This record gives sequence, structure tokens and C-alpha cells, in this order.
Amino acid sequence: MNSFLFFFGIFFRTLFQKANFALPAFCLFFILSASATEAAATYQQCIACHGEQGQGNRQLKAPVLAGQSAKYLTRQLVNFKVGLRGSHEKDTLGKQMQVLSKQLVTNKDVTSVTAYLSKLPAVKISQISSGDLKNGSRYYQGKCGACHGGQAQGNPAFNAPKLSGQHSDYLKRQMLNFSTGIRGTHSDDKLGRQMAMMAKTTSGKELDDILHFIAMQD
Amino acid sequence: MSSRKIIGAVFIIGAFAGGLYLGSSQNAVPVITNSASGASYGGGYDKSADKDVQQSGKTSAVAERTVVGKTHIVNDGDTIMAAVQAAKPGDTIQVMPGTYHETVYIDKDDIRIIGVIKEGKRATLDGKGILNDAFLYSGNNFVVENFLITKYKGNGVMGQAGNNFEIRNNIIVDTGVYGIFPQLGKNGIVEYNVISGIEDADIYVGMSDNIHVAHNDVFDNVAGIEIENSRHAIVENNNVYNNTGGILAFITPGLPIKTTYDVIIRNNFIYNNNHKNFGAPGSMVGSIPAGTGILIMASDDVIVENNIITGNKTVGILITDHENAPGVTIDPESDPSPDGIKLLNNLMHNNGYDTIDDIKALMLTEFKQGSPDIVRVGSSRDSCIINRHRYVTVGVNSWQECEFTNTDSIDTYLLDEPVPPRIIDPSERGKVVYNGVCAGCHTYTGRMIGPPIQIIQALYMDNPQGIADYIASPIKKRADYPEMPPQNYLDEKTRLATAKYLLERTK
Repeated sequence: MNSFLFFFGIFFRTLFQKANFALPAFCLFFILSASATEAAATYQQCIACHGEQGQGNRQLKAPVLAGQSAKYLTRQLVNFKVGLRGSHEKDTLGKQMQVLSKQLVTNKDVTSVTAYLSKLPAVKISQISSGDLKNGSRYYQGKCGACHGGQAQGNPAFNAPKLSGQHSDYLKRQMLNFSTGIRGTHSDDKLGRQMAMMAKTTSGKELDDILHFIAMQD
Repeated sequence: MSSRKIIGAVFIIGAFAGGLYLGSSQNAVPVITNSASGASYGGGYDKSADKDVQQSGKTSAVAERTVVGKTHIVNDGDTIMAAVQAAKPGDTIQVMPGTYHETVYIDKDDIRIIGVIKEGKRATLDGKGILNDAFLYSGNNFVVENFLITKYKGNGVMGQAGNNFEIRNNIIVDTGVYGIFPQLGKNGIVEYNVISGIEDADIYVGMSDNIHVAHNDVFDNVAGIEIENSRHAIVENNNVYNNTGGILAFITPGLPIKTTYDVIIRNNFIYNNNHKNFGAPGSMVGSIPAGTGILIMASDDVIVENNIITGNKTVGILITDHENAPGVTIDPESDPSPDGIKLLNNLMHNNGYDTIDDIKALMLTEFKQGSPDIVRVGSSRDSCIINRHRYVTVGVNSWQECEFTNTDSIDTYLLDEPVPPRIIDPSERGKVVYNGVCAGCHTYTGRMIGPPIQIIQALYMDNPQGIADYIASPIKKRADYPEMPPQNYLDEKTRLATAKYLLERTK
């Protein structure tokens, strides 16, 4: 034990001597590790539905969270907490998320858990989708790609989440929510209203083809 | 599975087969038609029906000058723009050899800007990879000649609703998106230009009428010459090679003007257009199969005559409707079918030698093998061809024999007299800028150069000021789209009017 402390002390002092910033960086590492551990612990309350690796669960209608942008996840969690999302009477799943989101503290739990999720490696999911890929490509590029990226990778410049690697049925459910006024109607939810406007421009086979195109992206 | 591989799929075979007629005359003695002795095309453009046209016997595109204006000399170290500002309609600006780093805006009528070539040295406009456009004109009766234009990010020469123009003798190298781009113009000539290294089209005639594109040398681009949403155009005597696609006549869906018809493509060399497509992936132009000599998409009454079409590895002439073209959205207001296509004699050789699988599959539906010269996919009504036995074809067995064999009776679709200047009611300022500027890169629903208007509407909704501010000083937000050039040459009022008009569009 003593030798460990001795070694640790030398290591610490050497670092401090070699670079003035070494100590703060070292401390930061510990803080981050601690917060990552905390975030992982916080996330435990989500894994029943969203999975241990953030891989989602199609049967439970829980979307993939791993690898999604922290900013997007934070916004959605906050939207659930303040009622911008999940308040419509027909949004049963959204209501569930509203309840669960209220257990999280915005500036602590939410930000740490979303940062944690964004760093989880993207999970390869098995997609159940079919459609006309060529048609899906032309309408994806025409209606979605300018914000969500040419390969559905998302684009922070437009606050547009990554769509690739997401369950097609989740995306379809959200598209229907947007187009039928279940999501994206609140005057404070500008980004949701933007999405609702675009969601209303597609439906039926065309939408299925678009979703198929997204499902085929890496 | 990689989607890109699948997106390479160009055609829907089922749709093709639906329109397919397996002609019974495949082994019959071919009908040999001598084009020298046949009838000449009698259709096309009827000047007498055009209200803009005054009848007389003159042939130049710009108005003849009755009073000689002042000549302004621009020396190396001066700016061309200063001379334009000092000039009055009727004046000529002569630009001496030298290097000029500027964008020249011409919103006055009847200005001629002539580069002086001295022992091979030209007036050079160099955008240095910073500036977007070399010449932007909106004035009528505009002439620009003899320049070397290079390293601009957007356009070499772009017209924005200017009528009666002549763009000639320019060398345009590596200038971004479009080399020469008259947009929304009537009665114009593009000739004797050398253009290369453009990521969309070398010569892009957009939403224009009565255009003559001739004697241009066009190479190393994605698209060589495009006649898009335009009418009464002749493309002749051009040298078009090593592009991804050589000469294109098509309708882009979602633009304010919905038709392309009455186009003659004749006497061009169109060869080895096998350049790798370097257009933006997912965009319409990015979907052109490398190795396409001529592409006719949804345009009507396109005549292809006496071209030498060789060495285009995918196909010599490709005729398609919107439905079967990749990367193209459908516009309910545009007829998606290429109707009235007329294929007269052309020298076709060694095309389609490395064609795409989709075309091979189409050929199998006609029990054909080999290298295709002519491929038609999707519906096409009232089209005709002569001497079809000379070519390896797919989808033209059911076409009629043409009732004429040449277009000798048509010299030009240019007007005898220049059209009068466009009168723009101040209340229509937004509309004119939308049509003349925005629609050059944005369609309503599809991905062209910029994002679709429909998406911009969703992003900005009730915030036209946001658009007006953004277009004055755009920021690149999309990695896979070219950067938008600033439109700060438009005053604030015009930008806002344009933004409001844009947000009101429904098609």
C-alpha cells in the first residue's frame, strides 16, 4: 500500500512538473470517469426498454439511443419533461416517456446520460424493411437529406438527428405522429413544427420507400 | 448492404417492359432512308405565333446599335466593375490583358464587355477559389467575349432574366458549378467557348427560349451541354467529349417553368463521355451514368441529327421518362414522358461497350446482346427514327419511320428582332429573382444544386427575414452540398421580397 502511494505520489509530481496543465487534466479525467460511471448508473433506469447498449427494443417500441447526438437526446428528454412532446392524448408511448423523464434532473442527469449515450458505439440492428430503393433514394434526397444528411447520418447544423441505424417502425410511427398532429404542434417546439411540415408531404408507399432507403444506410 | 450499389440501378425493367413492343420486323429487309433527298422538318418553332416577335430579316441576338456609345478601356489593375458602373446603355467596355479578381454585375441594358486579346494574352478573371461568379448579368442586350475565366466557385457567366445575349470566345476553366448559365433568358447565343472542369454543367441553358449553342469545345465536366426546361433551342457543331454525359435535353421537375420542347441537336461530335461522375451524390446530375452520349429526359420534340456519337461506354443516346430516371422526383405539373423524339441519321460507333447491368437487362427483354447505341426506357409517344437497322437499339422497335429526314429548312431559332426588354413590375420583383436566380439551383421538391424549396419553407416557415439575411451571407451547413454564393448584390428589399415569394410557393 505504501509503495503504491509512493509510486502514485511520484507519478503525480512528475506529471505536475512536466506540464502545468497535467494536474487539471488528470483531475478532469477522474471527474469524467466519475460522471461516466454516474451516467451509466442513471441510464440503468432506461435499459429495461432501451437496452443495456442503447440498442432499443422493437417489441417495446423503444428506439435506438446509442450513437445518437447528445444535443438531440437532451432536447427530446427536456421536451418530454416540459410537455412539448408526449402530451397529446393519443401519444401513449410519449406519455410513458414523460413520466420517466421527470425522474431526471435536467442539468445533471439529462446532460450526463445523453452524453453517455452519444458515446456508446452504434449498434447494428436487424432491420425489417422492404421497398423500392431507387424511389426511396429520390424522395429521401428530395424531402429529408437536406437536413438529415445524404446518408441519414444527421446534421447538427439543422438540429437534425441521425436516422440511420434506427428502427424503421419507430421512424414510421414518428412520421405519422408528426403528420397527424400528435407531435410537433406546440408553438415553442419550432424544430418539431419544421419536421411536422415536412412529414405532411409524404405518406403511403413513398414513405415506406424512404424508410427503406434509410434502413439500408450503414 | 451498401445502398450506393443499389442506387446504381437506373431503370425499372417492369416499366420498360410495360411499354415494350417486340417488333415483328426485326429480320425484315431494313428501310434505308437517304437523308439528302428526303423532306425537311416542318414542325418546330412558329415565329408568327410568338407575341414577342417583330417580323423582319435580321439575325443577331442583341439589338443593333443605332447610336455608337462610349468605349471604356479597362487596364490591368483597374476593375471591370468600375467601368460597368460608369457605363451607359450603348457603351462598350474593352478589357485589356491582365488579371482581374472580381465579380462583375451587369444590370444595365445594352452593355458589351469585350476582352482584348493581345498576342494570345487575354483578360483573365481569376476568382482564386474565393469568389463565386465572374459575370452576372440581368440586363438585356448583353455581350461578353474573349475572356479567360478561372477558379470561381459558382458560375463563369450567369444570366439572370436577361434577354438577347451573346456569350462567345471565352475560355472557362475550373469554375465550380456552371460554366455558362443563361437563366430565364430569351433569344441568346452561346458560341465558340472552350469550357472544362465544371461539376455540374458546362453550358446550362435554364428556363430559356430561342437559344443557339454552337461551336463550343466542352470537356471534362459532369454534364457537357444542358438544355433544361427550355424551348426552341439548337445545339450544333459542338465538340463534346470526356464528360460524364455529353448533351442533355431534359425537364427538371419542380422548377417554375415546366416544359422542354423543340430542341435540335445536330452536327456535334459527342465522343468518349466516360468521365467519372463527380457531381454531388444524391443530386440529379450526380445520377447520370458515366458514358452517356446524349440524354433526353421527359423533353418533347427533340431532334437528333448528323451527330458523330462514338465511344460512350454506357450508351450513345438514352431516352427516359422521369419515372425511370434516378434521383428525380415527380412533378405533377410536368409531363414525365419524352414524346415526339425524332432520331434522324447519326454516325454511331463503339457506344455501350461497357454498359450498366440495367441496360443489359433491358436488352434481354428484346433478346438482344451487344453494345447499345440507343436505349429508350419508360413511355414515349409519337416518336420516330430513320435507318434504325444501323444501330443496336432497345425500346424503339415500335417507333414510326420519321416523315422527314433532315432539318435543313431550319437555320436558327433565334429571333429576327431582339425581344423587348423584360418589363418588371415592382410587385413582381420577388418572383423574377426567384425564377431568374433561385431556380438556377433550387427546385421545389428535388435535390438539384441546393436543397429543395419545400425544405427551406419548413425550416423558415414564417420567417422570410431569416431567409433574406441568410442569402446575403450564407454559411455552409451541408457537407454534401456546394456552398451557396452570397446574394448580397440584391438589395435588402429585393431579398425580402424574394424570400416572401419563396415561402408562398406551392409547386
